[in-house]
Amino acid sequence: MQYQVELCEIVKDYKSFRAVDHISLGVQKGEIISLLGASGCGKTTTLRMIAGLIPPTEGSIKFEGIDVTNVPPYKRDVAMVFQNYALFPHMTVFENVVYGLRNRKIRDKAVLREKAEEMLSIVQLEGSESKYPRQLSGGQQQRVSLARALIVNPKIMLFDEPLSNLDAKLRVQTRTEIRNLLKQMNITALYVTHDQEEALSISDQIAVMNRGRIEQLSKPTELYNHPKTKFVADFIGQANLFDGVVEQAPDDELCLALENGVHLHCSSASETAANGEKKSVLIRPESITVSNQMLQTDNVFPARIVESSFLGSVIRYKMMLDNGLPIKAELRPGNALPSESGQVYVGFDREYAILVD
Amino acid sequence: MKAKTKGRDLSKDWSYVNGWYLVIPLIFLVIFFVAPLCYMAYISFFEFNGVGKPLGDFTLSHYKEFFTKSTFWLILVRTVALGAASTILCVVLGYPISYKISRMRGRWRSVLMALVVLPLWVSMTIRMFGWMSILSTNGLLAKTLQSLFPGRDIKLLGSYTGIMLGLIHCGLPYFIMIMVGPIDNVDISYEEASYVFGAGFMRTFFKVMLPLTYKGALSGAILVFSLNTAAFLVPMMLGSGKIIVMTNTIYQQATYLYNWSFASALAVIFMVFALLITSLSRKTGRKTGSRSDLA
Repeated sequence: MQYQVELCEIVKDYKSFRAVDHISLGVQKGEIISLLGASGCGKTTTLRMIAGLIPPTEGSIKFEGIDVTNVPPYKRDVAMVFQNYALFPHMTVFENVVYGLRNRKIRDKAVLREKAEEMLSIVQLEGSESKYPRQLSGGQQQRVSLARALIVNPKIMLFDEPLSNLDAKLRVQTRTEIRNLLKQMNITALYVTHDQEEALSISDQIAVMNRGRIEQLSKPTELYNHPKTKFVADFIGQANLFDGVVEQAPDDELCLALENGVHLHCSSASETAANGEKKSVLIRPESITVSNQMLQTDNVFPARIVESSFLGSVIRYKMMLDNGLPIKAELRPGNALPSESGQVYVGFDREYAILVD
Repeated sequence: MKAKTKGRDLSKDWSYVNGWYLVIPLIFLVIFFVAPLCYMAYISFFEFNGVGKPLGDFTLSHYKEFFTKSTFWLILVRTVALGAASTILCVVLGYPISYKISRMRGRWRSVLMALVVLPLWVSMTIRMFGWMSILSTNGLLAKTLQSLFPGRDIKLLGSYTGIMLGLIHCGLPYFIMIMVGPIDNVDISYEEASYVFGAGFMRTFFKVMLPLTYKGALSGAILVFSLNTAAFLVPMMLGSGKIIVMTNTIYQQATYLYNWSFASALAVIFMVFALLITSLSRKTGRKTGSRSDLA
């Protein structure tokens, strides 16, 4: 299977630090992959290297199997949606949208007009051809910028935090639209974002980046339910994480011995956990049960509620186990809620206690 | 309730500058700039009987003399041509430098900017004297060129080449200084977008950078043109008296020939032409750049 876009051992060094550290990544035709990470993790640098705006220090970039590492951006047949839209302020919406086509030597006015109309109707901006970007709202400008990218039918479409300048509601709406459009037109895309919710909802696969490396490349559900490392577990969603040493429990099941002597029954996705190995365990707050009665789960601990906060769809409890560990849990309001004063029991089954590196 | 400070209504008249402060420079300008200019225009219409003596009869002879003698026409055309040619070269040479500087950050940007401004710290006379020594027959540049092209007679001092070099030297720092701001204002993502969407270097320059920095380049060019047509020391010191422009002629008429009326007439004509050309280029510039005005 040939990748539409493939990165092989890409490195980018700046004077004092390594921004991107041996990244390899393959994107298949029609696939949407997100690069997710905190600022400074090298995700934008990676994107800009694919666009050809900056050269990699080492490694190679291939488009459809052909090495394009030394090809300038204007010959790469890519398209990009910028964070600040980067619409040319001195051109009308029409001129902006057909800019890529004009550069691809399409001169026929009728063809340009027809294509622009088609793209603008796809992004629901019919009839704004003769407007200037500054006459449009931020959301509309982003749609024009999307139309300008879609119209060239690029080998890969690059998104550089395209929604971060929009307000929260528009952001949620636009990301669904972007995904639907990309899927409809079978366009390959790489999407850079620091917003995990955005990445989870828009992508086929997510590459979580940390310090210039890809920590994990997985499907969104896999990433959430079975993170490979502590960093990913902590970065995506809410997490209870405890460090410990792997032990074999008497019933031959996996067990993690925490520093304070507590044993947790847990499971591992990779089956590679060996006795005596240092690992961490992840328990998502929503997979924890809290009750005033004794529970029948694999792990049960007596605890006290320290703090509870109502967040609309969930109630978040901060608790202290009697053995001294702090733990967070999220319960749905409406279910039987524990009384907050006095003893509670915290319980979770072993399949919700996942070993991570 | 409106905020009041010492009885003054801030919401109504919000300015750090009291309007009356403007009166002082205004009086200064009227006395030392507008009045002499008007007087100069006035005496150009009268016969001149010598410094300190009353003016003679009303006459148009000074203007007639200018417009009927091709010598003077030629001087005017030469002045404008030298100004225009040096301006074009300043724009062509200065734009890339301004571009490079405005795309830089940090220490190197300050260093380069200082290097651009540095020549202006030195007196014009001294700088031109420096050029004289470089351009003279035994000078560095002339000698180098002579050794590169042995058969040819190379004269730089007292030639158009010499004057052009001097004018470019004078105009370039101003153009670069003016241009850095407008280019800096163009976010680099516009350029990147242009490249990503398939435009090469030239297309990006003509389709994106130039339209977005057009106005700045125009005001820079107009400033350099005004400075270079009005240059006095450059043609004086690098022209060796062989290349005469308007400023030299006016100086000559006023100080050697003591014909103040004719000198005034020359000055008025020169001024009108210079203003005409600059305002015309501003207007045509506006028309061509009207699309970028909307930006």
